[in-house]
Amino acid sequence: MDWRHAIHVRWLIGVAVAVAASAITTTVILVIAQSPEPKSPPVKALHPDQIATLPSGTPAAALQLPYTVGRFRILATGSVPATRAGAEPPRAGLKVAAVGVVNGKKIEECRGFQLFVEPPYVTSGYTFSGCSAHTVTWDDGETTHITYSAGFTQSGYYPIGIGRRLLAAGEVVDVVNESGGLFALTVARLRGVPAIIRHQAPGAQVNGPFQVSFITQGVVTEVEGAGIDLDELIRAAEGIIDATGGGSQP
Amino acid sequence: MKTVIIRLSEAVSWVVIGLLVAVVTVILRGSNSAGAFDASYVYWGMDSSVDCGDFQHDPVYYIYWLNTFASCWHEDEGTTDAFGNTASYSAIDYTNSGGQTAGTLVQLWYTGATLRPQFQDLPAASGTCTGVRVDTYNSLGAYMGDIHYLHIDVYANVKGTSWQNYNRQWDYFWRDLGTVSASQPSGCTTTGPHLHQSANRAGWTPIYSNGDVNPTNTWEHRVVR
Repeated sequence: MDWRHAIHVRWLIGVAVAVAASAITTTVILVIAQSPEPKSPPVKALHPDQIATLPSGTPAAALQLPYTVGRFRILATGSVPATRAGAEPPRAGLKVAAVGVVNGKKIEECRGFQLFVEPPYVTSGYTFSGCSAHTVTWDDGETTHITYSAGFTQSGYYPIGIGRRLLAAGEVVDVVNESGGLFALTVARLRGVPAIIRHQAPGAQVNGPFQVSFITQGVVTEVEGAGIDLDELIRAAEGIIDATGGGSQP
Repeated sequence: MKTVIIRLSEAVSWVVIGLLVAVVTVILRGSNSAGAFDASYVYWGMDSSVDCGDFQHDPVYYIYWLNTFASCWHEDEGTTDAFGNTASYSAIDYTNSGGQTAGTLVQLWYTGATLRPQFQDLPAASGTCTGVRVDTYNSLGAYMGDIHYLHIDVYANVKGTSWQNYNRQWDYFWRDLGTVSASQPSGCTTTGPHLHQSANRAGWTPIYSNGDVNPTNTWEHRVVR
């Protein structure tokens, strides 16, 4: 092998090494950059074709809209819901000084939140995952919690959520009907309290999110879940109605 | 011995060259693979600049990345999703760079796999803020999580409608959602007109934040089918 040939072979090996290093490095960088963070998909949740339960009650499709029940007003599809009212000061004349958010990771931290509720029933296997609330601080230093949200999770399933919002005096909660789509609304009574249930439209295959909404003590509460039997959400909602004093003061 | 050292030096040099080529390749290529149909790419909701310099619009935030772009990303909205999960939304605030932001058209637009969106009210965790929640589904009807457009005046024909009410050209989909609000109701955590666009990137959703990938791209969230 003469010296020209030797140099040629060394160059070829060198280029091959460089190409290999380049390819491997490029692949690694792109894989790292493109790979989403690890996730736990809801593989155990019910699939759309496994959701069969329809709630008892009156389908919104059978009602003359707009339809008022309790403090809910169901509007026809395409209607514009009224803007949510702002927070009311505890006394006349107070003004908003600041708004903010508070969080809790453990249920013990959340008990002090003004709209906190501990559901007496949550589907077996779910555990509390955290809470938060929107706050309004008035210019006299007082604070009003205007929302409360809490989650319950179980590996392999969609979460179950509880959302609560403080209503202003006389505020009506508008719900826009959904017709011709995947979802439908049903007006029901849970523990004697008017409730709006959002569920799959008859014959539609969709696994959520489903919601059960009701108003007790001037607070609208929504229990939400997906890939779960609707009865589980209704049962959780009934427990909260019991825990929040029912509908004696809607 | 000297020959071995020379050979090793040569090998290391070639490896270094290879690494440099790799880095250049990655930089030139970027990570925008929006043409792939195994995922949807949700883009900025308005023709705008990304406002992330002073965090003035969303007082409560959570920084993901520590560079200029990624510091735009923040999590607030009570740091919960509709299910109450903590810190699962990632968001960016948008303003107009060339004029006032209030009144600017806001669109949901994306490319790639069909999201089959459903347009709903915002969850209670959004407080009194105005906007629209876009629930997304895969082709089997399985729920994939939601996207939020906050601080906007939503057009009257949007909420309560579904994916049929959509515009499509090739693999680009869009829908006009409304316009950026001039002001927000009392109790909403905002200090000026802007679009706050976010999506649920909780552990169970197939939604991923661009803040975790390449913040310089103009898509904001990726939804894996």
